[in-house]
Amino acid sequence: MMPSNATIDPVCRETQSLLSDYLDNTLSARSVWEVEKHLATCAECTEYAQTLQQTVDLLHNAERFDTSDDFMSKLHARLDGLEPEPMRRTNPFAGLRDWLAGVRDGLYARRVPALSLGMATLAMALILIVNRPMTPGPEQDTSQPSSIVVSQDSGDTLSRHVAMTASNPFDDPVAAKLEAEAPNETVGKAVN
Amino acid sequence: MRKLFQVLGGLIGLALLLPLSGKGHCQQQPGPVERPVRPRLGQNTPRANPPNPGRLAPDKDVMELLRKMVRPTVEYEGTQETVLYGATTQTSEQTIRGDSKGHVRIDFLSPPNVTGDVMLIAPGVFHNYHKSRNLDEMASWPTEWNDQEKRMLEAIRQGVVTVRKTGEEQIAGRSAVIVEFSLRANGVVERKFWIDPETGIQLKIEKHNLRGILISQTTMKSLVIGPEARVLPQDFEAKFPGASRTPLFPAGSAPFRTVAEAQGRLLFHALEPANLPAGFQLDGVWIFGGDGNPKQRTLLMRYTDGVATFSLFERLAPLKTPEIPLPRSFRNNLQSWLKGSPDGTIHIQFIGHLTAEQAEAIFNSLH
Repeated sequence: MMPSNATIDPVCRETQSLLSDYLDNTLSARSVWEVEKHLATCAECTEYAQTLQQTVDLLHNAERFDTSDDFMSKLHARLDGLEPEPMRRTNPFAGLRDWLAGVRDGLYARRVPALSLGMATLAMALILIVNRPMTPGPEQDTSQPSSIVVSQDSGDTLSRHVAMTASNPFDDPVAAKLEAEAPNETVGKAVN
Repeated sequence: MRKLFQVLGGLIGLALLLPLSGKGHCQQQPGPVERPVRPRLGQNTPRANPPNPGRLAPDKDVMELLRKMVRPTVEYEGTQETVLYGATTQTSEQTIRGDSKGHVRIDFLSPPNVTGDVMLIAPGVFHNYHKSRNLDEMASWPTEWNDQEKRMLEAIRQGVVTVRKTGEEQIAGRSAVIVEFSLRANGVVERKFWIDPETGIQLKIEKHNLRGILISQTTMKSLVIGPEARVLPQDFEAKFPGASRTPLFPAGSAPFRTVAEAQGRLLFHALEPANLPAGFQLDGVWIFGGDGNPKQRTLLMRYTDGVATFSLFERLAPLKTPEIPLPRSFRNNLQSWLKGSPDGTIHIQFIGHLTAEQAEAIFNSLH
């Protein structure tokens, strides 16, 4: 589970707001770079990105069913005809039985897309809760906020690449700069 | 209520199954990693021509022309156009001013994302001013960095790179001698220069990737030389009102010759590629960042074949994770990707113009 917006680091908040577009590969080159730069040093956002990617993959892989043309009209007709079901609980183990039946159904039968969607959404929330480390890992540096780590150490490698290109009189620093700041449409494709 | 229990049960069952899929789970430890066998250099590189093991004496006139290109004999002012080839073609216009002391100023006129940006190149110092962010990125190079031209010429003498004059052409109203750089190992052309033999001014440069495919060219469109160019010393001063300045490298720090020399300042075991493309060797090793905190130091290894370069950045991963699930980024032909080391302790970033296969081979041979 991610922290609330009130407590989250502004850089993390900004990155997380871009993650969906990042995974869809619709961000500008600069934004892609900013996101990757931050993900390289922020374990929480990386974990969040992983979870988001898992969810997207899960939704993409979910089985799809086509319904008949009159499905919605029949559904509404049935809903209109339903009577409120009275509350009843005679067996104290009925809840457990129902839960186990649900597990079984959840594992073996994806009968409607809506169930898959709901399962994926709640699974994402559960994974966030389960996977979130309670204490920092041995390599995690907690002495400085992640935003400072990014600006001082891990980012701007492309800028350093441009600077090194400029130090070589037999290279073309202009081309290097343009490559480093290439717009979005040139990202994701390569010609070798 | 019954249906609610069923749905919740189903969700928990699915959640329990998901971590078993393994991929991307942060706590999962990777299996043992086989150390790659060190292959012979150039094993993966296509050979257009058989290599000639003997040394050829470089053409003295061409060598003199190259020296002149590094330090033109006159002041000049011109406009130039850069074309980036690749998935899409990108064009940029700039004005350029230079003097006989190695100072160059480039003002970007287009495209819009870099309009107003300025590059200042001088012996020992580089500025890359971004107008849109009012940011001045500065690199202060120690003296050794300016030896690049000597290394280049040495690479020519040692026969790693072959240079030859291939013709003459008129560029921006000036006569230009065309000089071609090709790798001795496979004959692939890496660079072509059009040089004004009278002044040493570079009138055009073409960059090719290691398969010989043209990736960029910068061409002078108009040129004024001598006093008429009205080049002033203050043209090369880094004065960007209100701009914040970011130093890209620690000032005055000399590079390490080997990774082993730098290892003592790192809190992780630096990984080096066993598989390098033909002709490439380590050019220098730098450590930057982490002022007061060794955990945040970044190692930079730069490799060159005398003409082309690529860089590997390594730093301690902030959190143990098998691999960063990021897609590779390609900016035209420039590859820039970030990966985790097999044991998840190091983040490795590659930047360079190698082919995708060569870059992959380098990553897979890190040890």
